[in-house]
Amino acid sequence: VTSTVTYLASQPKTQPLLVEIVPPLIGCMCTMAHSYLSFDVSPGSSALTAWSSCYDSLVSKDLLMILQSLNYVLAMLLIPESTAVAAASNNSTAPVQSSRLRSFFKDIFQTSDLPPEVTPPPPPPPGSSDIVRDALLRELPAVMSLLIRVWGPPSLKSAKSPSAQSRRKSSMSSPSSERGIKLPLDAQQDETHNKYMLQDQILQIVEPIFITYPGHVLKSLLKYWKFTPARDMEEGVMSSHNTSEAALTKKIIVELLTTLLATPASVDALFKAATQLLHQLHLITHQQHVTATNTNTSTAPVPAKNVPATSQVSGRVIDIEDKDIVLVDLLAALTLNRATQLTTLELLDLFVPFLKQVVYTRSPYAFIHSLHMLHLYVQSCASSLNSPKTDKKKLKALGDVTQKMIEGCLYFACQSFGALVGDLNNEIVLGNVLSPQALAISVEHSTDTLTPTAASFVVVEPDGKYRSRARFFH
Amino acid sequence: VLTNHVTELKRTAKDSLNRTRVSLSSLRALLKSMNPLLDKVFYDKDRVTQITSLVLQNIWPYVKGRLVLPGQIMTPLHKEISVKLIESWLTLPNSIKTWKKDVLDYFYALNIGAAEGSGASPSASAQQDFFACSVKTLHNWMPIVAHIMADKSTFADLLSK
Repeated sequence: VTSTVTYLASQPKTQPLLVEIVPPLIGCMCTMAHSYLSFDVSPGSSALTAWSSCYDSLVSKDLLMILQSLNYVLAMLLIPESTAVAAASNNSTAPVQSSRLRSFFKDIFQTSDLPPEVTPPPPPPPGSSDIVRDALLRELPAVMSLLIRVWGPPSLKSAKSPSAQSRRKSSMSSPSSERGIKLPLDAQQDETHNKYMLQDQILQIVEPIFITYPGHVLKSLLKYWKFTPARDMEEGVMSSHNTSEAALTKKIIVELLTTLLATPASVDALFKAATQLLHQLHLITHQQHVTATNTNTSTAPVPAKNVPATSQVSGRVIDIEDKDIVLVDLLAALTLNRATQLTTLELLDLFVPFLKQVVYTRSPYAFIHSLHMLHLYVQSCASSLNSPKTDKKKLKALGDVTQKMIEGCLYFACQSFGALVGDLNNEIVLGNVLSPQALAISVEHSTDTLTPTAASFVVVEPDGKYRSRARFFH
Repeated sequence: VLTNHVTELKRTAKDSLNRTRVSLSSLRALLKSMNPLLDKVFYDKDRVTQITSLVLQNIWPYVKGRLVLPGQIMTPLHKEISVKLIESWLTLPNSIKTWKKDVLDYFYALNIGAAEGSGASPSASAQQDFFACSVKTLHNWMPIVAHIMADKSTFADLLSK
């Protein structure tokens, strides 16, 4: 695969063929790798045993070879030269580590039948067009599905084994001379080491793509993230009792992302991508709402100011439509998992802008989880928030968004006595909807935008009494 | 027609169940996170008062437990969590003035005022409202009432009533 792609990319005449040949090749590699991993992960099955069998020497070797080929192709055709150079300089110790890992593998396998040394991919060919890049990015969900499966369940690690993130941190901070490979003592350790080897390879694939195209990686992961409303956030993702396939996948995604977020640049990329995605989703919802309203009133559509046309927006994010709660759910689980690593800088510069987008969501659980995340952040950063050095403007923004989150939760808390009214796309309505007078006003002016599933709603009169005003059914 | 009616009823029931679940989750989230956020994020205490006042205004129907209109849903948990939320504000000294009067009025008007048998007293069913709740909710009321009664004049007023 690597020879074919290198040859095609090196010849100007064959470069146009890349778009036709490379995506199917990647698909084939994913199918091949999946053939090692096609076991049942449903509750009650012996999924963990099956998973651990994937980390025996022979299967690991094959999987590693496939992952290395994937890494080569994706790095060559997806990653711009500057990013590749930066990543290489950040991981200047990688070749040393790679050679040590290879010697380690030789020790384990006791065989010369090892994956061939993969040389660093050449810089992307000048002719590698946006078409090839877009075609590869369309294959990203399939690649991520494979990587999630190969990564394996977090429960496999023993208490003595370091987490992927701590291994990664130590490998980034300690000098290369101190990073020796410990030889395994038994079969279980063999599997653990093989698993770590594969996970390191996965990180080598994902990290540069994540830094360059965080939105695409995030969207790909969201495809495999199943939202399940839980009473408390802790009962949702992180519950160790839940062994269904969806729950295992969520745990793996959280561990993978947590490991990726070891550097501030990755955290920055993640939050900016999440904020952008949420913004795009809300633009689509807003456009749909405007279109529906215009259709109902039989008036000519009036494009909203500063809002791109629906086709432009939906062309970019149509595949993640109605996924705002899934995105918030993913970030909430991630925040819970890295509760000890949250910083004031992250809170004020990255999380607050994200919350400003959450305000426009229609999902109650997005508000509930966001409030919980905010609580975790503030709890972690309480001491530095008091510091006089903290930017007052940012603190004010934090206060504003905190108030909106509380109001949002209150709004949904009062649903059961019928206060589910108003248009949540409108920040002004949401911001004021909870005071009795403002609620009455918003109802008076927005009866045509009531949710069609509301059985009834109540208007708060100026004297503070609640009066039933209407019933709406589908 | 009957099938349609049953389908409609099922949908309405499901919708009610979802709304109840969402409202309980939201109340729990407020109970868990609101107080620490108010304490650590807002240095302007007037804003804390404003927010607690807003929240109180909206959860008060749950506290009173008097939702009688069609389509309204309330479980004992709504009342329990709402009272617990008010209890949690005891640690926010500035917010106490926002809810003290409402709680005291509710406590006096529906119980002691009625016991006097005056013409202006609430109905017999309303008399039981304050205590018509689970034992857990009563336990949540205890520190609130105790805090209010810690003020000598309020306690003297209670004794005089």
